[in-house]
Amino acid sequence: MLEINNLHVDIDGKQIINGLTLTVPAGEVHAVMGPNGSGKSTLSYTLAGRDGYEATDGTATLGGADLLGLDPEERAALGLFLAFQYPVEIPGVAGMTFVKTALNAVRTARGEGELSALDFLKLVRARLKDLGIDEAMLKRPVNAGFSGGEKKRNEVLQMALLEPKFCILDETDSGLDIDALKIVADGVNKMRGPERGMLVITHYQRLLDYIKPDKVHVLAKGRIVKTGGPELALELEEKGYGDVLAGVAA
Amino acid sequence: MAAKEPLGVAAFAPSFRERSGEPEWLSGLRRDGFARFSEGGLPTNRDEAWKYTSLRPIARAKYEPAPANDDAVLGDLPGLMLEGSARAVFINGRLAPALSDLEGVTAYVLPLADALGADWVQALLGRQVDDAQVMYALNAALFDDGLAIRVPDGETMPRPLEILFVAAPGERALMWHPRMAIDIGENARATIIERHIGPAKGAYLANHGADIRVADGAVLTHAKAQLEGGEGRHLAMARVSIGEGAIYDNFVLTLGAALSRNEVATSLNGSDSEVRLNGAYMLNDRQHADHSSRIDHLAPSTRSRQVYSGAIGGNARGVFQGHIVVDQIAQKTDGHQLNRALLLSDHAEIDSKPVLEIYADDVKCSHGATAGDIDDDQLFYLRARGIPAEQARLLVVRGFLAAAAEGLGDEAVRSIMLAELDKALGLEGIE
Repeated sequence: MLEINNLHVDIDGKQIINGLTLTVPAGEVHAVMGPNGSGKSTLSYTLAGRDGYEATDGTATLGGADLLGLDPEERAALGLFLAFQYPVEIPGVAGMTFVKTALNAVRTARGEGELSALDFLKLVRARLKDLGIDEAMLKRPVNAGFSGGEKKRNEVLQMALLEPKFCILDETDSGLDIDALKIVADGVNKMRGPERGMLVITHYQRLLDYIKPDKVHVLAKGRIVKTGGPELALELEEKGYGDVLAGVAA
Repeated sequence: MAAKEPLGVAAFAPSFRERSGEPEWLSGLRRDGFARFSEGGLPTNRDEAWKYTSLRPIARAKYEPAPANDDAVLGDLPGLMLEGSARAVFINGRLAPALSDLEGVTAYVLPLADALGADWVQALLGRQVDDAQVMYALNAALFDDGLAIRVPDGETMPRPLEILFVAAPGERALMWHPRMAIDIGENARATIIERHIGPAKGAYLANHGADIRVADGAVLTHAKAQLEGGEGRHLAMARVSIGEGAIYDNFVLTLGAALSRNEVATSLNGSDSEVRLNGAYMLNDRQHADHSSRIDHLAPSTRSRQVYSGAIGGNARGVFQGHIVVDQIAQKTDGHQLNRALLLSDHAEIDSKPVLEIYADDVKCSHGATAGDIDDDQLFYLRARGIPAEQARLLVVRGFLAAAAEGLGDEAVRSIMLAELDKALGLEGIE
């Protein structure tokens, strides 16, 4: 499903991702853990196609299609979804307008045609109900003045509406208390399925108590330096990154 | 060397005439207005209040007063902005009763000429004009038509009133100077929506004046969509006095005209009164739009809120001048002013001049001005959700501008103003 091979990314002339190789098959959830500055956010931005995050070498494909040459919206249409660490506030644009525009854009790009207003409303209401979110949230401007929990629930709602093939969750636990974290994790878990892959990027093991990964990768200095099962996350939690990385050649 | 003649006097002087049949106070007002104009002429960039907006093109344009006989060529009039509104239609500055629908509000809305005998009209129109308000003085000298709108104490105008100003200039450059007198009585309520439209071609000058009183406890919602034609020039000044506990809620959407200035001068005369002046504008090509405001806090515990947001592209230029004066008796004043501009091209320009004059010691006043490019974080967020770049840019601009309407209290009025904005952005029906 998602295949990253020997990825290199420079930001302002500084090498941040440095030969990263990683494969996440359909149906699996992988975690990427790493200390601050290891390149976690750069990885997610590069995969989603943010300006200024261009690969200097290597490849990244989703379902066999090259991602790196595409605009962000084309990647979304292909089925890639990035749940932002810091979802962006857009005052002056209602949430409903935003999700409708996004869904119709993605459907159009996928050749599915726009939904009628009625079908859209039915779909939104069904997803809101699944996730236990009040419709009032979509009447407010996108993320404007939202609490951390509301913002992350809004991300999960968008994910549920856009039905991506592959989800990247960038530090989804940041800014959440434990109750909010559980709610968000529940939403994410509902999205798990045999056709869908997920990459959960996190600094802390805590999130992985609720979104249980099939594999855990440790990112350091822009590369995957260690890969293991869920127990690796616990080891990191217990011993810290220092010990785990000590055995890894720089 | 002979003294240089003030700007524009030669162009406008032939239009001034003594009018028979008007009350003496009005003849005096017109003569005073004309004398004031003749003395200084059109304001120039040397006048502090007109530092960034030049009226030289207006002096050169040789506008003729629009003829009274209505041979203007009209297309179909647009539908109402707000369903259920009454509507007064002006063609080239003159009320067109046959095109208007004032059913249910005829007791509240009169042609100005029919109300000149009323004391309240005289009181409003006869108020002192400041030196800088030259175009207002010219309006007094030259106005041919207008409305007298009055809501008696304790009443609510039964329907919102839309005033549709249609420009149909034809071959020659025409001008008109409509005048509104608006009196909202104690604890009364009214909603007035102005819409100004004009064709893409055809030069004209619309020089509007409005005298407004919002009495104690009253609420006036006053919104305006300026969608003038591409060669139109639009100058508008509203002078508003606000009584105790009253609210004047003003919003302007500026999209049209080659040159425009929207000026609102308000005085908060009674304690606990509030003024909201908000606006959104979108400029392109060589458009020039000036939003100027003056707020005098003249009583304790008064509140003012201003947010003006603009998106400026092409070689266009935006001007914001916000002047807040807090009198020494106006303790506990709460004044907030913000001007935000998105500069969408390298040649776009914004000039922002906030002035705070504070003579009281226990006040909360702030002002801010920002100018910048489109927000990359917002753009990326939208694109990452699959929205194509161009549409994402439009949405970011939409959001930026629409945020200025948040201060407008009436939700229905806010939504029609945003619908006009969306139309201009090509995002029609997005909400």
